[in-house]
Amino acid sequence: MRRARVPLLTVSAAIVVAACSSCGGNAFAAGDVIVSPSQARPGSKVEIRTSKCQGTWAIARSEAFVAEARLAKAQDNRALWGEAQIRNDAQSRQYEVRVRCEDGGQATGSFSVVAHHPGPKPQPDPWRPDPWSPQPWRPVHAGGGGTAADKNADTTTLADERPSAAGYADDLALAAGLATLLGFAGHRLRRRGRR
Amino acid sequence: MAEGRSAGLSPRTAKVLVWAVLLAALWVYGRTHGAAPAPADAAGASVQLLQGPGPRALKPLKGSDPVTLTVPGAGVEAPVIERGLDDTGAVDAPPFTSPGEVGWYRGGARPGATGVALFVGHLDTATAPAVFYRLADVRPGERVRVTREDGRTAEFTVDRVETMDKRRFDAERVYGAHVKGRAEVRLITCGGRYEPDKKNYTANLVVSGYLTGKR
Repeated sequence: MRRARVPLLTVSAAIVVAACSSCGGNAFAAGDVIVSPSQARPGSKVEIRTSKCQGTWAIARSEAFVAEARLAKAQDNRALWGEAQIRNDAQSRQYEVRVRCEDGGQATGSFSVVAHHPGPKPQPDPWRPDPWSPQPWRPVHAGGGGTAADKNADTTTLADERPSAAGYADDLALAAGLATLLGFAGHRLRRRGRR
Repeated sequence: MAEGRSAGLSPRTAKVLVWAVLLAALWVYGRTHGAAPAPADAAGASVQLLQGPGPRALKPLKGSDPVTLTVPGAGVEAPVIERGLDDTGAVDAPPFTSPGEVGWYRGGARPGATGVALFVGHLDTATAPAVFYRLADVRPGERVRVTREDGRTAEFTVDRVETMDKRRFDAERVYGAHVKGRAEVRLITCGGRYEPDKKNYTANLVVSGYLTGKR
């Protein structure tokens, strides 16, 4: 292929088309009313535009909208436009949008709600091994309280109150032995001194 | 007569012996009462940190699932099972019917690999101590070892022992990495006081460590 000879104009046009296909989010929604982006996420804002109405205002309604939207004249042309918010609990399906014009005229269009991120699954970041498994955010529940009666499980002093007798036994024996030795040595000293 | 019986012990020797015994007694006292307890605030929250820089962090290993967790300072040598999150957003501890098992969060890092490997175990059941009953005995500088499926053992050094009140829970400090790029580990159980009316302990005990050795 003789790439070098492809005209600059064709390349530029291709770039513009490619760029525009993602700007406004593929505003190819069917009908006389255009919703942009035509694939909207729940909780997001969409723009509604129609040129089918005479008059200066219109009302747009849809099951997916949080509330009806008021459309007003756009500055550049005769189209009317406005914004609406998609409900958080909107389902992933096609929705109809109905516009009622100032003079009673009507227009319809359709768009879809996409509840999940349409993009490809991102590559696991070595820092967060699996971005789709959330990091926990609450304290753990890891105790039944069965030992709480013996000691209020105050962990700041847990080391002082070792619960197992076995842990204490050898220390006590050592202490007892040392005390005996101390007593014996002290006794010997006194006897020595008295002499 | 007294002379004869005490002939074998001169005053000097006896004095040395007494001093040795006194010092030994102090040493025993120190051992039974452990290191100076960390100052606790009114809520019972406390933190113990490593004194000084600690051993060098080892470069993280390739990931492999955990099989056994060993914590000599807490008398723990336990099998590890995979867990997910419970419906409150915390790592789900193993069921109370397996109180000797330690849970590992499958959505976190694998032990020895970059990131934070999360282990959760019960302090006690409704009637008896459980696997992490003595976890509070662990001190900074002690070791935690995890044997993995690939046969290698990752050894971590504890650099932080913290009791954190559940009502003032800092999830990022517990579950997030402390130093980016390290292989870290968290051992979590309940702490604080038990409230029988709520069937709940008031705090979490979190032992944090970082990779310093491998076998």
